[in-house]
Formats: sequence, structure tokens, C-alpha cells
Amino acid sequence: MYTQIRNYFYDNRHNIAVFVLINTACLVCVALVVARVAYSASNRHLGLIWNLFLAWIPFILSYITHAVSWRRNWLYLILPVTAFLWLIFYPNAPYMLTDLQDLARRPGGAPLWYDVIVVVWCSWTGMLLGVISLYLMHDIILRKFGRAAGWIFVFVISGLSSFGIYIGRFVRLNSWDILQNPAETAMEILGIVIDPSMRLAAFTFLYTFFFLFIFLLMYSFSHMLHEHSSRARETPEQIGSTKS
Amino acid sequence: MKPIMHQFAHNKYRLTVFGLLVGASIFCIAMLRFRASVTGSIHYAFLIWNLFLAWIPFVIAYVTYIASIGRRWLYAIIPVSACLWLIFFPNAPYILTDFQHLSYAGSDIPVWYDVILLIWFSFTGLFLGMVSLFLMQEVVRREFGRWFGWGFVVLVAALTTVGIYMGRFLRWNSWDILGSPGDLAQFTLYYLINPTPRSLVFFSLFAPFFLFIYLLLYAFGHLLLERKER
Repeated sequence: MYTQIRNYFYDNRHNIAVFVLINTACLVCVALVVARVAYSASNRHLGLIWNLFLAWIPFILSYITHAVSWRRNWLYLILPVTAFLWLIFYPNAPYMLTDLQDLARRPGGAPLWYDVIVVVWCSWTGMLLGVISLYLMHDIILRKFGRAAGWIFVFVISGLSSFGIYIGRFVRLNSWDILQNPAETAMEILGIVIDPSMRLAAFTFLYTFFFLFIFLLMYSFSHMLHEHSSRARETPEQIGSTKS
Repeated sequence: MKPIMHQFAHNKYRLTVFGLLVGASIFCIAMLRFRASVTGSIHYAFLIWNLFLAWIPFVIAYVTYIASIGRRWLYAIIPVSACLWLIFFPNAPYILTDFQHLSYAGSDIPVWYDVILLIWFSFTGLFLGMVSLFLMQEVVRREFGRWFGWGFVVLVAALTTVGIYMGRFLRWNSWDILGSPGDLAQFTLYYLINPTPRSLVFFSLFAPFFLFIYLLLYAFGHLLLERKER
């Protein structure tokens, strides 16, 4: 029993490391904001904790989905529900990046460099929560429907989430509006899509490219590690033969 | 011709990482050019300089990594390039602290454009740093083993934070260490003996952040290996 548990932890050590690291980072972010509030006795940045919680929802959804996705019958039962919920809440994660603009309204009460660190911590944690959850969903799609479908999925989600961020930032709609009064929200979104402004086009373009860049970079970086470790397992003769 | 193609296929992902970082840098500069043409001011032009400085450690690490595969080069090149790398490395994560310029922003362009501009620059800079740190860690690990590799990462995280602090608040540059080493050493020593609360808080917040990002990238990268091995 003991060795079984130990083996389980050893086999999944990187998975567990990612989970622990990102949740620890969330706690650090909360602590930083709380320290800021206690120090300056103002409520500045308190909203970041709420945003971070919202960013955490799609992460935990995709994590659970990914964990059960190894069992086929579970997957088909759970996937439609979680995929829908995930899609609605996903933009909250990269949305954290736009919280950096809080810095432009010169806060006060605490030194500027402290605010920079707080917001950078929070926005990066949110962003990485998003990338990891997108990666997990990408992995499920890849396994079920093939490579091409997986990459199309990433493209579509990058575009949709940029649009979602725009709606959240400038139209001030929330994820749950679509559950509470779907008809009204759909009409409002439709109005924006039919008559896009320059701002919408530029904003969506710049963020979509950014998300694709980050996702591709992290994806290639992790495959680069794979290139390394597979080469380390090769025998010296093989390395010699590939070099010539 | 065939060996070259083979090389490309064999290093596909390394080349993709390189290509993506080059592409992102070009995109950053294009965004800044666009901003300049709309507003007619060259505000934020220093970002290009900072990004250029962030490229230096990346190139050094890349060259060292390639050279370290052929062993006889290794011992000749490592001490020099490791020193240069360490001196220039803090420039990469330094771009993160440029976010503070948002608070002095004028109203000549919507603030969201400056936000995404800075996000592009700072992510590119930080990832340049992360990839170059990974390459250096690999060199150390190959020579001295796993534990030295991780010790190296922690040490670099601490030194980088000190470097960023010196750059941001005390306004030293990387090349001052070559230009006026005496002054710099004296000054640094003075600060190490009499740390201010600001430097302590900055250090204890930034160094863990840097480590967190690196560890997460590393663990994230290995998620894939776990899956492949299953």
C-alpha cells in the first residue's frame, strides 16, 4: 500500500508540482493584497482577489475534466457540462492581465514599486492559470479528435477569450450574465459583433496574437525539454552518429 | 543537404522557441512604431533598448550551450561566458519593473494600448530570461549533476533580484561592472551591510516570483513527458 502511494506520487510528480505551485502562488497573491490593504487602510486592489478566484474556476474545471478523461464513460458524461462552463469562465484568467492598467490610476497609500509587484504577481498567476487550463483542455481534444482539431481549438479559444476580455473590460459584462439572463446578454453581444469598433478590432487582434505566442512558446518549450531528455537517454554512439 | 534537414527535424522545438522569440521581438517593435506614428512621441522608446539588453544573455547562453556539447571548447569558454551571462542576465526580468511607467502615462493614446504594449515587451523579456536560464542550467547539470543545477537556479534567482534592484533604484547598468568595478563593489558592499526596508521587501517578493515562474515552466514542461511515458 505504501509503495503504491509512493509510486503514484512519483509518477505524477510534475502534475502535482504544477498544482501545488499555482495554488501556492494564489495564496501569495492574496497575502500580498491583504498586506497592502492592512498597510494603507484603503481597499485598493481588493478586487484582484475576486478576479483571481474567477481565474481559478476554469483551472479547477479543466483539472478535474483532465483527471477523469482517462476513463471514457466518465468523460462523455462530464465533458459537455464542464466544457461549456469552462468556456464561459475561461476569459477571466487572461483577463487578469488587463488589471495591470490599475497602475495607471496612480494609487497612493503604498509605494509604486510595491503595487507593481502585487499586480505583476496577480496578473502572471492568472495568466498561467489560463495557459495551464487551456493546455489540459487542448490535451483532451487532441486525444479524442486528433492533432488538427486540437490546434484549431487553441486558435478559436485564443480569439474568443480576447473577445471575452474586451466584453468584460469595456462592456462590463460578467461570466454569469450569460447564465442569469441569456437572451439579453446574447442580444448585447450580437450588437457588438455586428457593429465592431476600431478599438474592438485592435484589442482582439493584439491579445489573440499574444495568447497564441505564449501558448506556442510554452508548448515548444516543454517539447524542447522532451528533445533534451530523449537525447540524454540515447547512447553516446547514437549521439555521435546524429552529429556527423 | 540531408544532414541539414535532419538537424532541423531533430531540433524542431528548439528552433521554434527561437523563432517565436524573434517574432515576438519584431512584433513588439512594430507595436511601438505604430504607437509613435499615432502619437508623434517616442515615449517608451527605451523599451527597445531594454529588450535588446534582454537578448544579450540569451545569445550568450545559446552559444555556451552549443559549445558545451563539444567538451574541449567547454572549459575554455565557460568561465568567460558564464561571467558575462550573469552580468547581463538581470536585464531580462528587469523589463517587468517597467510596468511602473504606466502610472506616468499621458493621455495621448488609450491606456489599454500601453498595457498590452508593456505586456508584450515584459513577457518577451522574461521568457528570453527563462529559456536562457534553462540552457545554462542544462550546462551546469551536465557537468556537475542535478543538485548543482538546482542550486545554480536558486543562486541566479537571488542574484538577479539584487541586480534588478540595483538597476531600478540605484540606477546602475550591467556594463558599470566592467567600467568602474571599484565604485560598484564599494557601493554594493555598503548596501549589503546596511539594507533598507525597501530592498528587503523587494528582494523577498521578487526572488520568489522569479523562482515560481521558472519552476512552474519547468514542471509544466515535464507534464508532457509524464504523459508520453505512460
